[in-house]
Amino acid sequence: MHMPDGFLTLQVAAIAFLIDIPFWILSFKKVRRTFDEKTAPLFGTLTALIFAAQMVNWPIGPGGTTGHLIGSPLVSILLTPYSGVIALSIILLVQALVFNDGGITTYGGNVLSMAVVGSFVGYATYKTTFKLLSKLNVNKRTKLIIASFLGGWLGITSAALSTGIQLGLSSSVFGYGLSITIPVMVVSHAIIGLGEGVITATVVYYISKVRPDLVKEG
Amino acid sequence: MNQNLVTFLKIIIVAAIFAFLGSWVASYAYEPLDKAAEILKLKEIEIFKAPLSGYTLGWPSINLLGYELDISGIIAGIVGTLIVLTLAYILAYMLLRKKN
Repeated sequence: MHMPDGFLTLQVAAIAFLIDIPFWILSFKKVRRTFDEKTAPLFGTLTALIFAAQMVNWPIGPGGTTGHLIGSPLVSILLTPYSGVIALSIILLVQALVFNDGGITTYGGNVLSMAVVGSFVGYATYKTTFKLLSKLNVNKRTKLIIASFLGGWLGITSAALSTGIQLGLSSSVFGYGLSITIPVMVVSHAIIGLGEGVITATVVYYISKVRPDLVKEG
Repeated sequence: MNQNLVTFLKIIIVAAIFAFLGSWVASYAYEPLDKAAEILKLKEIEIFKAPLSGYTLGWPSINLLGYELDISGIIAGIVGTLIVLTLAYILAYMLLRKKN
């Protein structure tokens, strides 16, 4: 989902970057307040883990395409969505500057989709699902698995929607509008997102077993 | 050993394994955005050449029995993981120190 240079008009790229700025400021403020000796090292290792996991592609997408974890919903569920924004912003910066994976001019757009939208939508979905299932008297293990699966799935699908909107608004570059770019991005990622959901649920469930203190219950 | 340290060491080991496995399959990556770009005839513009562009070290002249690309991908993946790990740790501890 990393947009390279040339996929967005300069106006759309600039607006996306401007939208990111308040999220960065808010995230740094919140993270500084909540970080402690337990969460700070977890943030570091989890960020490296997400970067490494993003290199593993699974071939389940339509038309021979592959998918990989974006990871922001996972970081958001285990830490906070603010940590998710910072972690993915670091990963996307390294990918763009060191590996040419994602562009420099499109960095703001990629952050908006994968870091901001992926983190907040993934976390909100996890929390809302967990609360809804609690009202239905579902056992804790099932709540955790379903809520984190949906958080992961909707996190990546909404990130794809954001990318589709940015591409559609850049129609002057290639001539296709929102009615084309949104379905193209959302449909393919809704399928690939199943993998994100499964991985998110598996990791959250595993961590809830070995380090229950790290997993918040909705 | 401290329980925190054990958990974090486990995560670092898993990250290294992902970097290793990922490097073997990364070259086959054909993401939905690539397909969409093909359908929509989007053209990528390369405004600068990154040092490890395409998750490789760019050493085609070295002969490693046909495994040059694989080995270079693995090294690039591990280098990337270490860069991200270092940056994230520095940032996390800077924020922690500021708080304290």
